[in-house]
Amino acid sequence: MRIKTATGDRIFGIVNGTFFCILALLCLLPLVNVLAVSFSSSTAASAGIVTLWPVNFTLKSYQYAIAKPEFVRSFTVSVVRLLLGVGINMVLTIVCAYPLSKDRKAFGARGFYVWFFFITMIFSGGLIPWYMTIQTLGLGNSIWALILPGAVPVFNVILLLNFYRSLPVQLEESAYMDGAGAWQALWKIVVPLSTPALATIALFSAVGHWNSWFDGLVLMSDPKNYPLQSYLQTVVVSRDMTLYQHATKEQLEMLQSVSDRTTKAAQIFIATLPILLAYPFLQRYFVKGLTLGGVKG
Amino acid sequence: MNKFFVALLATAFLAGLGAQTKAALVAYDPAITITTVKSLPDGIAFVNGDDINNNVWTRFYDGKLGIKGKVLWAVPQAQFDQKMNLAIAANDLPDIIPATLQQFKQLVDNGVAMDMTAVFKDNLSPLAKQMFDLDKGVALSQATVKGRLYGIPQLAGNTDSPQLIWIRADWLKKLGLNPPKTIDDLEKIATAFKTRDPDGNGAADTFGLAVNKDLFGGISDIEGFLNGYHGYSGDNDWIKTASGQIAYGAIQPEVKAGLARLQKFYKDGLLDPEFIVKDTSKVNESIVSGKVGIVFGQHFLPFWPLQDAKNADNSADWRPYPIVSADGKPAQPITGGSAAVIYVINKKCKNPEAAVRLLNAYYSKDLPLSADFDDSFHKIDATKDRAQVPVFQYAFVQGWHPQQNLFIHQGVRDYFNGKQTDKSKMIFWVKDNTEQCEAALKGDKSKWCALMWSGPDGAFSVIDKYWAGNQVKVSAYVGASTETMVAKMSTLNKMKLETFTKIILGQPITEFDKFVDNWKKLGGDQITKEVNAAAN
Repeated sequence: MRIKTATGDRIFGIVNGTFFCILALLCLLPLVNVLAVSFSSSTAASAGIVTLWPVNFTLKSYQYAIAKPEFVRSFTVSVVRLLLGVGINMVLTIVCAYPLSKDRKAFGARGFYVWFFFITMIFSGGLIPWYMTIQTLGLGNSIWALILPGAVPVFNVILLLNFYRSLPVQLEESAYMDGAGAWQALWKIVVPLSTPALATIALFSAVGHWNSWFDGLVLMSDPKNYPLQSYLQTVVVSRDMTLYQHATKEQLEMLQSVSDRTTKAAQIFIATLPILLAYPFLQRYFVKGLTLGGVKG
Repeated sequence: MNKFFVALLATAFLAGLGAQTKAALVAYDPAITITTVKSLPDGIAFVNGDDINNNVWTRFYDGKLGIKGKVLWAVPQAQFDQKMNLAIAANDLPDIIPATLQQFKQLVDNGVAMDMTAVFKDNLSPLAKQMFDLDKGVALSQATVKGRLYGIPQLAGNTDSPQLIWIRADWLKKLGLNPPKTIDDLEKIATAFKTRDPDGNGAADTFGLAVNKDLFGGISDIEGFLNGYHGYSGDNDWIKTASGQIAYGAIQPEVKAGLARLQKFYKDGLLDPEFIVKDTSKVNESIVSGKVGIVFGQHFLPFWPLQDAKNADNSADWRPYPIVSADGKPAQPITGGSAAVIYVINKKCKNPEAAVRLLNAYYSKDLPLSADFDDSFHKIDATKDRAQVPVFQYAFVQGWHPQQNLFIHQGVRDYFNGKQTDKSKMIFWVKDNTEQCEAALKGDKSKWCALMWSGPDGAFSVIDKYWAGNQVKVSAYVGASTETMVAKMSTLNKMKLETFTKIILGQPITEFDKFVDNWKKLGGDQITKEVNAAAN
């Protein structure tokens, strides 16, 4: 039997589809433009004639970016930060969320601890106390300054906590029946069952680590230790021309080289690449409902 | 001007200064430690295992001056403001604090800045003093609050900033036009650039005058145009009125007349109809793609964006011309302060005179006019990664010859007109520029910018004429920001920008009078009072 669709539904479908296509294009086209500029000659780019397809195709700006010591160095810093940061975030999120997901009977002080964490989400000490604390702890200018202050992402803890609670209790109970302790139940039963949630928060924390630039700028006392986005900010930020009012020729020649749009575009594109690649890889975890079929009858 | 320099060169510098500068480099014994922070300019690099705490300058400080330098943090120039503001807020500051003019005022107000009046005077070397004398006290007045000197200005000079008109000379030639002498001429040229198809592509796709949405800022701005009406409306432009009082430039009737004319330009389609949404880099696209033929701006335009225009189209022959007047009275370009950075000495510093000694050392090693000049303190030539490493940027305290760029131009010009053609007698700066200009004349397109900058017909040939003709106006107040200025000026500037934009877009010119009233009421009168008090 064919299901008849009402005209209203069809119109809604079309309008809806068009709306989201436009939205998707709005997000996609700027990226395509950056890509096109990065492959164009710098003359074409500065004349503003590059739109969605490279003009005078060249790989020059990529060769330049890859050979640039600052770029390579900060890329490495970012990769290290990502691996360390996401690893620490995930372990701490998991072990934090698990006890907090238990009910009052199992964990008496639960209410207190949930608020203890939650309150830091709403109130923060502010920029200057934050800066002074990290400096006083002696973390300044080290990679740990970028990782430890945000080691427990409370928002992610709350996400995961709620996910744990949605898991059937029987699964854990069966583990306890077979002689598992809390530790084993967590790592052998709960964690494998929560891969969709873990993938989501891993992605959050990876994107967060990869994209943050302000902490790098403020906490590193040597640009050598900049993560990639802090470095990129110095590249793309628009220059205050009043500084060039009394510039010497050497400074002006530098102005010329830093204003090159194609190398900016190439660096921006290389920097977005890891995240672009991570999405499709993690996506398969989002769709599967792993808990289905775990409890029978 | 020129004779003045020759005299200086011949007498003071080459004769007796060598011995004196050496005497000024006294060493601390035992050695002391001085901390600072550094803003790293674009293009700085470290080679041969050097870093910001171990390089040609720090080794020199350590070995010859007994000063162990320590950089607490370094940050790329583009991010310096932000980082420094945080450091000031957290009171996490070194001995020598390189501050912007706003930060300088903050550091004085919160009591961090040491009074350097006597220390500066007593320790300055004769060579460094010469430089400050050449600046005629402008930079020092910027670092002076209530008659006391609260820092060492990084002397850069105010010679360079007068506005020029840059015009496509090839378009002028093609359409049989002469360079402008008056604003009327400028209108004629702009009209011809719009209507007579100067690029010969058969389409009406060109316009006359490039302006960006911020209206000011040294490139594609309207300051030079308003100067033609004897109006001065930059954010820091102050003028002396007939009564001898200091008044804000942007609220004067001359500015109103200039804006009315710009409004007409816009109505006639001589400006980019979309200028209100175009920032500098968008405007540069029009310039590079050959859509526009006139732009007001400062000396640095050949490097950016005009060199790109030359690369895109070899026939694009942008040339500098003096600004033009709307009436019989010659137009006067305006210039302001001589320093953008002031080295504030922390009150906690036990050896404030060390900062002055560091400045003396900088002049003695980096100024080509010095008897001790050594270019290994200035740059390292071609390494694996870079054409040149600007090591002078590592120095803790810097300062320049206040008329350096003009001085370079005069040397280059004398070479090309045959007055001084012996390259072996040229000082470092001039030789470098002369060689690049020669390369450009031999057909090296990439050196075109150098030719149009210091070359015989470059930007500085016009600026040279401005100064020689006593045509430049110096802002009547260049001193430190006053209290109300810090609190209100950015709001007032925003209001100015909005009003000026509206007027250009066609709102009645009476909007200007409303703006003047509001400006006075919303803090302007108070600022004017403070400025007059500070200046006297």
